[in-house]
Amino acid sequence: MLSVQNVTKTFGHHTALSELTLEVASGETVCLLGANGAGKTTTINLLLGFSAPDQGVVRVDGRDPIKESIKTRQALAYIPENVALYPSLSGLENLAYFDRLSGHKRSSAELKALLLDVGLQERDITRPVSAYSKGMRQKVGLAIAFAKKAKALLLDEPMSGLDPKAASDFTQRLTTFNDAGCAVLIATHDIFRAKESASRIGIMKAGRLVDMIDPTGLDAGRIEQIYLQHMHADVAS
Amino acid sequence: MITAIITKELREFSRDRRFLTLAVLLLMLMFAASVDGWNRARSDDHARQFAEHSDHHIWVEQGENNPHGAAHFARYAFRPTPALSAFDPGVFDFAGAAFWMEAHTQNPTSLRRVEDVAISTPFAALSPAWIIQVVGSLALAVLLFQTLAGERERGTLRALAAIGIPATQVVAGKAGSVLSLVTLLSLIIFLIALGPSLLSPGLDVCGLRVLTLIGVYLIGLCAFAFVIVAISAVLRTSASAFTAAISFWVASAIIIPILGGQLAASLHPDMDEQALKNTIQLEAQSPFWTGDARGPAVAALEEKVLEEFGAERFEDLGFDREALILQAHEEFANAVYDRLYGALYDTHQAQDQVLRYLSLASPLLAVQRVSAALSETDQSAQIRFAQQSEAHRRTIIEMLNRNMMIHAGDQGFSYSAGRDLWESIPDFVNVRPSTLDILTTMRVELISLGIWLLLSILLALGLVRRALLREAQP
Repeated sequence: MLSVQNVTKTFGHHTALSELTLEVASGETVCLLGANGAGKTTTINLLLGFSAPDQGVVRVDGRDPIKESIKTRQALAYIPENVALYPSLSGLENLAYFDRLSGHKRSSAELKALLLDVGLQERDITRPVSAYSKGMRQKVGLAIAFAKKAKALLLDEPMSGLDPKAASDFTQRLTTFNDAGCAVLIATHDIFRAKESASRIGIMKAGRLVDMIDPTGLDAGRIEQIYLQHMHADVAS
Repeated sequence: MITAIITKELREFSRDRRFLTLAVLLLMLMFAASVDGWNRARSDDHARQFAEHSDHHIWVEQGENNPHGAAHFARYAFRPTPALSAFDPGVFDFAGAAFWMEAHTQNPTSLRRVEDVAISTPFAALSPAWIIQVVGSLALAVLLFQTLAGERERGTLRALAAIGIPATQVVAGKAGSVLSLVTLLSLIIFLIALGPSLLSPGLDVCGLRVLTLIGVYLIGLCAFAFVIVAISAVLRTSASAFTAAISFWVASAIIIPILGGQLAASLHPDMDEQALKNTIQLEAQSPFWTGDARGPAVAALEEKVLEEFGAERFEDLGFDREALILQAHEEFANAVYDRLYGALYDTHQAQDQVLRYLSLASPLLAVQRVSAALSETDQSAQIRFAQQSEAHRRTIIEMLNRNMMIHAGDQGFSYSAGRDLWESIPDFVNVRPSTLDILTTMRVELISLGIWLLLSILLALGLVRRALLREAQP
């Protein structure tokens, strides 16, 4: 579903991605772990068509995100670190708006059900988003992504700043996407949540994918050990 | 999708405290100005009707009188209060509403409303038109400067870009919401501004004129609003967009109209009022009046009349000599008035022309000018009244002189006429221009508004589209 083949991307003299190759299949969740500047967000921007690769090929459901930007983005849902919502509108109104823009026209009851499904309390559904915590906003972001019925979900540090329970809830909800056959790519620093949600974990450093591990049978401590080995190697080199 | 964007934008506006506060303030101001405007227009109109009736009564009931004596007794031409002066007083308060039509003299207009305004009248300068042009446009600048800049700062512009909707639809939605907001606000404001006219049955409010006026304001305010949206799309932060939006408002609503007036006056300076009076007094003294030139001038006049009628002796014509001389004097003086007042009106029109072309630089100045023209409270309407009343004065004086010339025999100033003559003198009727006539006169301003609307929409759409595309970049 998501395919990045030998992609290199530079910004001026800085190489953000170097010959990156990555595949995410439908129903699979891949987490990209890495320090700031490792190239995680650049990878997501390439898939969204926000940026064009200097070399290599990027495809989303077989489409070129630059040449077919509208159709590509229609196939994607994107949740950034801080979900951008309209503060004077309620969670329900925000969801209804993005739902309409995605070409759907769900009833109010359906939209409410979606918000309840992602864990928003009923009393909060009609409150203005300006009064929401970050966790609540992320839930609305998830509901928007659900509503879009996207083929792939891209998340950029979605759990940053969430308390452990909210982060755990969020991770739980993500499994629903996999169940629906959606390809999920998460850029994160959070090894514990990556272990919890990912089918595969990619470790990135300096624009390269240095390792791709299967977390099955590994605990978070072991994953952290592998990650740090790569990071130290980076420092040593 | 476009409807969803429009609905969302209007919902956000309705929950924005700035919007609600501004709307309440604007409506309160509008209500106060509107009530005051219509009260004044109604009371002016009543006063004019009373004065007109009195003038007619006094004229007809003056009894036996010499026609030339009656010409000095004279009549007044009253300018009907334009109904829409309640909405846009323009220069009406400062221009005279009455014209004394006496023999020999083209008087300046008198009865200026501003001379009667008590200091305690709080809304003398606060007209509904001014509120829409200045306060309304300021409200639009304050409400719309964040249209794109705010979305960019909140991150929702990037969210829109990521959702996969064509930029053209977002642009159309934004344009639709701006149009809806301006239309909705304008209609409410106009309802308050013009609603009281229903309670003023004496004032003749033309429906077509009102609709045209609303249309002109909508075009001007939309053009202004789209410029603000363009500013919001091109500048990256709300703070810089706010500064630029307010600067554009200051330039359009205040600086260009005020400096425009000063520029017009410096390019085409007005004649000094006292100098004009002195010149008129000096030059309108015909040779028929007094002095050594009178004898030869009268002899030449008699000769000309004898030639015209093929008579040998003046007495054979049966004309009153004094009346003939009076009319000759009138015609001499009229030519002087035509030249001197003509030069004055030419100066005013040249000044007007400067402002007319300056309206290309400000949609609000263009609105201001068309609004005053449609309300018949601009300088042109005043000149039109002065010219019509002067023409009427000449008709009256000529009728009186002719009556005396034909009927006085050799009685001269001892001759008296009666009610029949007074009743035959027509009342002054101010002929109003049609809406089409006014729009034709205002074609430069209307073209300016059209250009502003077209360019501002194209600019806003282009820049909103560019902002969306830019947002879809790292």
